[in-house]
Amino acid sequence: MVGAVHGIHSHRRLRGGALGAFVAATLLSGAAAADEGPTKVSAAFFDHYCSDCHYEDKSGGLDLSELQYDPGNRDNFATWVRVFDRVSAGEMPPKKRKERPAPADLANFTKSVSSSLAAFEKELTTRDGRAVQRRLNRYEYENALRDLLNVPWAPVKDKLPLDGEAYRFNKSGEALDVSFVQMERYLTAADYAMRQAMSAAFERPAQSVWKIYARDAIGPRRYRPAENGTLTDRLMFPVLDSHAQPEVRAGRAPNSSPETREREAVGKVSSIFSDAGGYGWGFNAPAAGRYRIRLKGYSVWVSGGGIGRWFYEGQGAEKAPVYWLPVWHRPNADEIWPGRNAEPIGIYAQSPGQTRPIGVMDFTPEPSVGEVEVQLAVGESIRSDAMRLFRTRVNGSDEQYVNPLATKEGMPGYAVQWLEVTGPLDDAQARSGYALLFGELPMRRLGADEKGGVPLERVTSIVNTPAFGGPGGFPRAPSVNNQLVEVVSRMPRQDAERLLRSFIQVAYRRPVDESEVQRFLGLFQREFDLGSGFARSMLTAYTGVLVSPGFVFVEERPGRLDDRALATRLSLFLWNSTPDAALRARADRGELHEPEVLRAEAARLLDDAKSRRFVDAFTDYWLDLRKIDDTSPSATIYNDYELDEPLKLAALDETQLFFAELLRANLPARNVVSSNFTYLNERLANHYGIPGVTGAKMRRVNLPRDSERGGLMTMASVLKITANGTTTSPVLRGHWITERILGIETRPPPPTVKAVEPDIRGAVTIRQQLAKHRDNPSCAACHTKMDPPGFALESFDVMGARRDRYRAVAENVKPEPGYGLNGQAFAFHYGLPVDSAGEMPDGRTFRDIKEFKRLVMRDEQSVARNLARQLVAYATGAPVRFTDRAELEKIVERARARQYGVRTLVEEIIRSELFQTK
Amino acid sequence: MKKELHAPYVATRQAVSRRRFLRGVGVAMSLPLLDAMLPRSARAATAAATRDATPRRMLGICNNLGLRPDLFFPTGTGRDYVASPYLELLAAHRNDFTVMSGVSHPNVDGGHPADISFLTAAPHPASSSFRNTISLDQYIAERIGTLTRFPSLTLAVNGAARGLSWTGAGVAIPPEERAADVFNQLFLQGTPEQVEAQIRRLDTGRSILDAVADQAKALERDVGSRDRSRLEQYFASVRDLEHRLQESREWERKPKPVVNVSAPADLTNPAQYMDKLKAMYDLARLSFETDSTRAITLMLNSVGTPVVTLTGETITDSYHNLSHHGKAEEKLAQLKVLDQFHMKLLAQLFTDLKAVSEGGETLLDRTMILYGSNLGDANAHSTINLPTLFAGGGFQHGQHLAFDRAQNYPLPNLFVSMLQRMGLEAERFASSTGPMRGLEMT
Repeated sequence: MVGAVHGIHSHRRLRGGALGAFVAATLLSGAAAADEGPTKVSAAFFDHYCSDCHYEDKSGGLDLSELQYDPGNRDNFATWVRVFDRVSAGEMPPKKRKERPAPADLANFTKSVSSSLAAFEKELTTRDGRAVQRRLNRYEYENALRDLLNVPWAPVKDKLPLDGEAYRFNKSGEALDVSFVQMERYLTAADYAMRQAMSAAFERPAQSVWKIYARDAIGPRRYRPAENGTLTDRLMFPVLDSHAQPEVRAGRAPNSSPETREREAVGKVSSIFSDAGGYGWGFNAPAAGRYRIRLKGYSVWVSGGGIGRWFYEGQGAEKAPVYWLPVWHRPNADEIWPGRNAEPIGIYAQSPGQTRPIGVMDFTPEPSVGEVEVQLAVGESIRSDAMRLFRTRVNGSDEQYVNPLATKEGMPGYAVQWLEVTGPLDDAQARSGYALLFGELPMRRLGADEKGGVPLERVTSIVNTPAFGGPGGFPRAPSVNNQLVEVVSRMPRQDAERLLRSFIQVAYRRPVDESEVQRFLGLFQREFDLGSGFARSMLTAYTGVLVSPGFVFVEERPGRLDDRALATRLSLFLWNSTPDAALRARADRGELHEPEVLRAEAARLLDDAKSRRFVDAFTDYWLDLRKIDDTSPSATIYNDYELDEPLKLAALDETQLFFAELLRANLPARNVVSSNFTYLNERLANHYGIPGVTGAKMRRVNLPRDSERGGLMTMASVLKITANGTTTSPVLRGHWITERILGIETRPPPPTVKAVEPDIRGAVTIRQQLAKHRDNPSCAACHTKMDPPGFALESFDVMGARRDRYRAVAENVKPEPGYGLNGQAFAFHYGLPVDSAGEMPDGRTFRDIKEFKRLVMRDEQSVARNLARQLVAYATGAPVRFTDRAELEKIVERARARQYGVRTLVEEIIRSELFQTK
Repeated sequence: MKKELHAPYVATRQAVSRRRFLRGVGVAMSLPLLDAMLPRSARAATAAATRDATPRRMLGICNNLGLRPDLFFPTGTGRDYVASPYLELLAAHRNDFTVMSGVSHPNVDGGHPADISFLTAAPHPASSSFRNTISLDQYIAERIGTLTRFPSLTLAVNGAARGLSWTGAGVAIPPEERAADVFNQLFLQGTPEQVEAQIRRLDTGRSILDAVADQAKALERDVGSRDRSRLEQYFASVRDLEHRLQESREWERKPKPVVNVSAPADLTNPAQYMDKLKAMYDLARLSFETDSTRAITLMLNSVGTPVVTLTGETITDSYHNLSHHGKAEEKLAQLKVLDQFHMKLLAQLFTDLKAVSEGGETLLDRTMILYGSNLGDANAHSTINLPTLFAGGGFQHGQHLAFDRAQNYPLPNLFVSMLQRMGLEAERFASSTGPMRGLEMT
């Protein structure tokens, strides 16, 4: 055994005594030269060439006199790799030193170190494999249950604890721990998903159409400020053919009449923020499944000069409204005109404590119908909202705010005519989850005096009208209750054994041992004998299967993966789920390892819509997209971004669609750094200053020739994630870019170094603050590598918009005129200019991000190598280690002919040793 | 909306009736969970320390229309503050509470919907991609919940659909709003059949765990050492969970505490808001006195409350309408009547808790009570400068902690202090920046 026993030898020596140290080291390390690692050779080398700076921790930050060889310790191993890398790259000893290592010394040293490290790692690989055995992560567990039970709507991921992260991804056994919290949540999640599958098959409602007219959903009471003094820009108003209906609004004419019914609409000028925003349609999905949602409406223009706020005085019969003066920026809902622009309309699915965007459409000045198809969980309700309009935030106890979209001529608004929901859409697969669990056995309602049964969620009231809010404006909770059902079996024991056997065979990704069938059958038997009924007893046994190691763990044996393990690895890589029947069949027949078969299966998986899961999960971790909401733009400096949902959603979409396109079209990896296209909609194009893109739909756009956009670094998502909402730091952004995009790992700063506190008062830039830091040579070693991209990106603010000057806040400087999306006045002024110039570690200089990208692009291969390295860690659960480097080079080399196409890289990884061995 | 059922063999601790069991987790009965991230030995040490420590409790109350700020906030700071008209009503307890101004949850905005973030501090509750996070009481219940029969209680007045308690998965725990039902669950013995049924469910959970533990053991035999350690961890987790189920099972056999009071009347009319509130306060005191639970949340859904019936007073408008007083005198006056009644009920609760002694201390000294709101000023829907009272629990009270009323101090810091008082090792909660500045334990 290398390392753990023999390898731990300190060879702390007095400085200067090279020979003495050599002897001491030799004596200490004993005889077994092959086992002891590189210490004998390295000690002499260190003494001679490194001791000035690296003994007794002078200034080099690494004390080589204390360095032991203990490869079993991951940090120690990494230190040796780093020493090897820096010496063999010629970075150490530093070039300014007069004495260069003699070539023989150098060769001797590097050979000794690399052969020791390689020997250790190879032995480890033989014994345990590259990767540590792991369980499914929460993304994979969700997809696995959804696919197995055909419940694509079921939220499972969020029921499980957060996964640990190693080598940047949630794919390594080293970080995927199991706690009893995990076990408890597995039990809950498995039971939930199975009941969802039963629910989808139980008294499944026929496909129906619900058409809800806005006028029915909205009572006239939402037109007028009720007694609670609602501000007028939160009110709704009646609209007919793009014009106001003052009589209807005043309550002097009926809210709806048969002649005009199809043309009637209800309008609004603000967006969701408080409960007063948005249209809750009061529709609750009667069953889980796919629904088609259609929404009809158009944009309007509303005159200003409305009443600022209404109040009531007096009690009982004497109660009467008290008016305030008209205000220019408040809507006058009695003067409405056709819209002047299109309004993006977001559609959301809501349940308590959760809102999720499900679609977006444009309302143009002419009425139009938008349509989306979505998966809804039972009881979820639908809300629509004009996403671009302002959010009426109040600050403190002062209710004053100004609609930032209001001009002297009025303000934009939108009007909705109706919502139509069709569903659950016919789906031949709707019962397949149930069929897996219970075959052809029928379900029935459980009688009141019967024991056992399984509770299934049922919605008792599908449409609650009038539904816009309900008392106090809260989204109304649907009436969901649980119906107890039982599965009818005439021969429970035989049925149980038959069903359970086939279930385990589908759930497990390997041949099933008879003892395992008996183990879970025992669970059924026990439960059934206690009188819990057939359905509950079966779910008990199935739960056992779905939380057992055979399902939860990825079973791989050291050495070459067998076909079934290969199938699982391939499927977890490209679908983030367990293999489907076709892939399993190939594995069962023992063909999958054949290069042509493997290539064909990989292609099939990549071409399937499920490969989008790979794109989303990979970018969630590689690019931290999952952290998009971790910080919010400062309400003081950046209130023009306050809750700008359309921008944030478009930014996420851009990155995911872009990467999906690289993969689909096999575009060169260099696009990661610089690309002549991206994905945009109107909001994001405006943000980037790119003309000619209208509407809410994302589409591929060719960028102008001189655009600074294109590539990941200048995407709003990345620029937001690498900022903190208030300020940007070239160090943090630069570090992130060097690691993720350029593939250069830098170590964290020593704990004693204080972070630079950003100063938003405007007198000093972060760059000036950093200058001192960079003057320190031991800091400079890393900062010269990681700061350049950070400097280049200084010309982008916390949401990724172009900037030439920093924003600052100071009491003695007048802020910029204008209002943020929250209706509050701007508080910032423009401070010092941005300097986006910098110098690469090799001395080449750049003036801005465009030049920076050009410099990086000169080494396309490095960009490809980094992407390949990230993909290997994601696909195999282990990083590219010391001995894997050669194999990585092969992968990159093979992709060269295709200009390092992203899909080619993926395919070459799948072909590689790294992928096909544990 | 969705009644989130846990797997039945794990979830429920006690079901009074079939109806209640079917409704799911009415009283928060989810399995209490220890911190998953603690190493085993540290976890065991924490559990032992907690078991022997002085029992500490928390009651978190959110009145989702708040209190009139002009009559609530005191003047002056520190111990010499001058009580406001509302605080005068608590004068007898001046040294038992701290009043705070200039505190709020960072980025928790959006007006009324912010109440569901009152004990979670999850940002932007009204935004279009909101997901709630674990609430303070559930964080506590996960850690010390097995010490009592009920890990936590989630209560509400007029708010069956809106509660303050959220699980670690951001799932709402539906609150219980009928005091009589809760009383029965706390003190009424289940029938032997019910107890047996419950035990059976727990045993089913254990038998599942046994089966999968067997498999893990079998698999461990054929794998290398690094992989084995992963399976061993799985195995240990299974055994841990079994142990928790065993602890839950033990509660089933233990007789429930006997109390010398009759069950509260079953009040169903939302207009009886104040009577319902009084009943909930009494229940909270009884629960703590019998050590039935250590964490209670109480949502006062004033927004969903109609015209309140109050003996001797004339209230003519719904609570929500009164809150949007627009500075109209009549409305302000009626709102003041309601606010004052809140203060009187709180004073009574403090008095009642002081009347109970436990281990040489009063129950109030061992019970942290947070009374506050998601709204600083309901008239304007503002979510900063929240009116906040913090009483009891073993802190040096009798002071006004005054922070900047425009640029607020983070209220989640109070949660950190509360967790630390609970004896839990907590450095952070949601957007906290540390423990509450100026709040010292006794």
